[in-house]
Amino acid sequence: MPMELLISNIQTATLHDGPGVRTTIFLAGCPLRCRWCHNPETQSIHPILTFDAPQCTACQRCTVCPTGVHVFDPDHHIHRDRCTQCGRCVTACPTQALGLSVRTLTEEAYGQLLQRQERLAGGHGGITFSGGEPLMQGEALLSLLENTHLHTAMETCGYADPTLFRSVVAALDYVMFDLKLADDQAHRQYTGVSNRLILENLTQLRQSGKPFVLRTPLIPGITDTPQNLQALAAIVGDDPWEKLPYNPLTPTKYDRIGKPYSL
Amino acid sequence: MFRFVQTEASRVLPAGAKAAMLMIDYQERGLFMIYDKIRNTLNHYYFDKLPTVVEDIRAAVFDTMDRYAEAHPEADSYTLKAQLYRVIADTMQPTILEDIPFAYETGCLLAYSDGWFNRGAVHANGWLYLRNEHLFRDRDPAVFDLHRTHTYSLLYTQCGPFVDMMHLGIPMKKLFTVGLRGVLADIDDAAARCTTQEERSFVSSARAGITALQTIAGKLADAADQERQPELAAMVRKLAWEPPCTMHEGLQMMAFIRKALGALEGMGFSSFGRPDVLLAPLYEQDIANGVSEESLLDLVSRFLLIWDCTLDRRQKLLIGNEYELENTLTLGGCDENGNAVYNGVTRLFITARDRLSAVYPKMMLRYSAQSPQAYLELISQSLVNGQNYSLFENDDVTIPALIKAGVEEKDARHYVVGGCWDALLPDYGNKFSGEYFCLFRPLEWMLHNRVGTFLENYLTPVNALEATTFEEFYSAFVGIIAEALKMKADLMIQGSQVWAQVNPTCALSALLQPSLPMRKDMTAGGIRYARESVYFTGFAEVVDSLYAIKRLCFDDKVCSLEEIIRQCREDWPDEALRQQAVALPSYGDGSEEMARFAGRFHDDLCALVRPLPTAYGGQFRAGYNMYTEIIWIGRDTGALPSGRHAGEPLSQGISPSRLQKECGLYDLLDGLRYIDFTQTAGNASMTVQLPAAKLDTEKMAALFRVFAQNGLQALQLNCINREDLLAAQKDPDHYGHIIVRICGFSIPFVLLTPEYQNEFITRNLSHL
Repeated sequence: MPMELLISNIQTATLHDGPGVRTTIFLAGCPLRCRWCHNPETQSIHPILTFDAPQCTACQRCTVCPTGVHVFDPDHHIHRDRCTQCGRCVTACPTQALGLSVRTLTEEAYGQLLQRQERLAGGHGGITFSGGEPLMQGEALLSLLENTHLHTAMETCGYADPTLFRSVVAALDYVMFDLKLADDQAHRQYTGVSNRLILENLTQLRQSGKPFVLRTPLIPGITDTPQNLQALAAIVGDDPWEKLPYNPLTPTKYDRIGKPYSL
Repeated sequence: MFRFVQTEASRVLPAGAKAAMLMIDYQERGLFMIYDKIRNTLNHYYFDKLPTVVEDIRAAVFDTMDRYAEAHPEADSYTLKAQLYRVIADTMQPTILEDIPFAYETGCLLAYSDGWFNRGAVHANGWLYLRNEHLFRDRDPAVFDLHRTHTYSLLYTQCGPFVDMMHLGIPMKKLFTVGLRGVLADIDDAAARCTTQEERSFVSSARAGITALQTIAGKLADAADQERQPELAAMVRKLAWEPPCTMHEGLQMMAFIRKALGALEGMGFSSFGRPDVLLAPLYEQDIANGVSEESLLDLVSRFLLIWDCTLDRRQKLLIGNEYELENTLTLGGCDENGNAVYNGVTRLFITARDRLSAVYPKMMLRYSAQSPQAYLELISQSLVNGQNYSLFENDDVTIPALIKAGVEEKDARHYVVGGCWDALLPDYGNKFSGEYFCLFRPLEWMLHNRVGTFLENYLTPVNALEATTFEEFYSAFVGIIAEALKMKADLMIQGSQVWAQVNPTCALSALLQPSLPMRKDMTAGGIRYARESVYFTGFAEVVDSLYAIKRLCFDDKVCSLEEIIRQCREDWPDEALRQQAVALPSYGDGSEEMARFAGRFHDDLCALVRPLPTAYGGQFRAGYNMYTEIIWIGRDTGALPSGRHAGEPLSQGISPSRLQKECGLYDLLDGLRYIDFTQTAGNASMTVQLPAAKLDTEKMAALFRVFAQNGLQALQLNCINREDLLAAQKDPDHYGHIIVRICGFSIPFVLLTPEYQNEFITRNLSHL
């Protein structure tokens, strides 16, 4: 049976998702709910209606919606609670102001991505799986990795079944592993889950022998505190560690999916 | 302002720690103060004193030559040129400038002159050209005048005299192997073999030219003695006969020959050649003899300042006039045997340039998919700091392109990039002609009825409305191009045939490898490789417009051809229809359909150019480039079917249309997949703007390999932060460090006029 991935986006010629020049696939679904999440549209594995207000010309073609999601009075109001993700408004929208957060990447389309990446970047890059959390679709990912001959990398929060984690890492060439908060209680408070499983998988990652980098998003007052960074440093030891600056564009992304930004 | 940022690139240098220490020493020892003083000295001399000296010398030389010509009415162009060499050498006024360890200043050329007699002002070396210029016109005055009158509204730019008197490379090989003594021996040998009067005239004039160079060297040495610089004086006297043996002597030779030859010939010299090939053995010897890298870096820095200070930074850049300069040098790439060129000299030049923020000489950086990682990271360092000094030329394309154009592989590997983007072989030939060909003009003629005298008298008129299929339209369009190219090639040949009678270049020819054995001046064909080219401009606009006509008028039948013509003539009154045109697939969007469409047009153009006749044998070369004309020819270009409004700036070279505000990098590369740039030995430049904030040297190195692998030829790369540019417009005093690549040259952003600043800011940005 052909394998498919649920994805939210594909970016080409990326330079910050692993070595060289890469194609990055953003998989849908994440077990964490980090309050600063900079890809909130990827949290749900189910499609969400997205709306890019500056692109809207108020042409009202989206009122084709059978459940009345789009109301103009004259401002454009979106009632997402009525949305069945049928996609008719997305098709009708002439300016791509509307979209769905999740789509399917077929095995065939994945093969075309690989071909393009290889044709354009050759050995100077590869494919990166990001998200969301790629391990939410670990089995499908594993299946695709078995047929991927390019350099592969994954950005992961590390929160996954250890057996699955071990298998996927074994099939990868490079791992970017997030370490957010050293204190378990703080981790629960700001991401919604414990960090114990993450630290367990970090141990597995070290044992795998695969090259990796640990990454910490510097969220003001949360992860960038001296206490947290000192505690993380103790966990990191001599491993490569990148500290990522806070992305100020994050609130705009929440607007697009109609969710409040809690930071 | 000098800044040092210790970088990955400096750390990976074989002598990395040493290089870093040099930088620190540079600040600690206050060298930057000396360099600032040198800048002041040069600025004062170049811009306050030199213009008067140049005019005095010109007047004296013209007066002497007028009397000579009157007394010798029988003298041919070679004889007159020989006399001009002597008179200039006798009249020149040497100046030794404080803190500059080189003797080069003749007083014959304005600071920003490349040697061309009419750059900024008429120079002494223009006497012969001005006397004989009419010969270009005399062959067919009506056609000549027509082209001159309509230069910028016609197909071409620089119409007449149909030979290129600028953008030459300086032949350095003989100077660095046998010296002027060896050149004189070659002249003796040639003299013994002459069989015709013209051969004897040429060889005699070549001897006069080389002797004039020695006279100038002698006068410079005397001036150095007067300034109590006996070591410099001795060096200059030695180099009047012998090849250089040290880095200092090598740099002195480069500076001297650039200025002295320029003073004599009346031709524009652009390229110093390849310092990291020429100077590498001298560098190795110096290091073996205990000369410190620090002192060599200082020498190279002072050498660069000579040329960087020829840009008058006290005023806004007035593009199109004398303030864009022609000093270039080429680094990197491979040698004649195919081995990578990356050595201590490469590092010295790039390090010196970066620490001085020196815009000149323009550094043309050759690279390939196989370039050493350390080299790619080194050339990336300034880019990630937002300083975009260079053109990047892909050996993987340009060498095969030159070979296809008939150049031997060994010679092709040794090419240099000339003035802006010409691939030259200065020791074996040079550039002879090369002009822009505006692809959108035939389209305008068909759509706007801008026919006029030119088309009526010289080209077959075409009625676009007669086309019943797209193929008929396309054939008619390509037919105009074919006819116009043929006419242009004929004009170039006519110009070349009288060139030697106008202004032979015998001193330059004596330095070329083939001229003396052939006993023929360069302008008369004493060369191994000619370079006659046509640069197509407006490729993206025309491809998109042709495709829009195909889809809107013939495939989808959205509107008639008559309607598109009306829209173009009235500058798109129907905005909805214009939006439909803009929304169509376009060149550089990554689609298979457009890639094939562009590839077909490219192949058709190259097929038209290849068989064109040339004056000196060899193959006519196609290319895609455009200079500052993107603005002022754009102003004079009507609306196009692509949706472009009348008067808007055009895209450069082979870059996508400006209607694409953002381009995915992979889409851009995919758009080129059916365009074989090994057919464009005339060079094809792609302008790419990247967001600097996302880059580091390692990632840039990976990008360079991707660019090379995908067959891009000449890369005009800008790594920029748009916010910084906007801020620089408001607060120029704090953003003087931002260097931008405009088109064939780079410049501090704040020196641009607001119109050119806006053109730069609104270029397509490739997102990463």
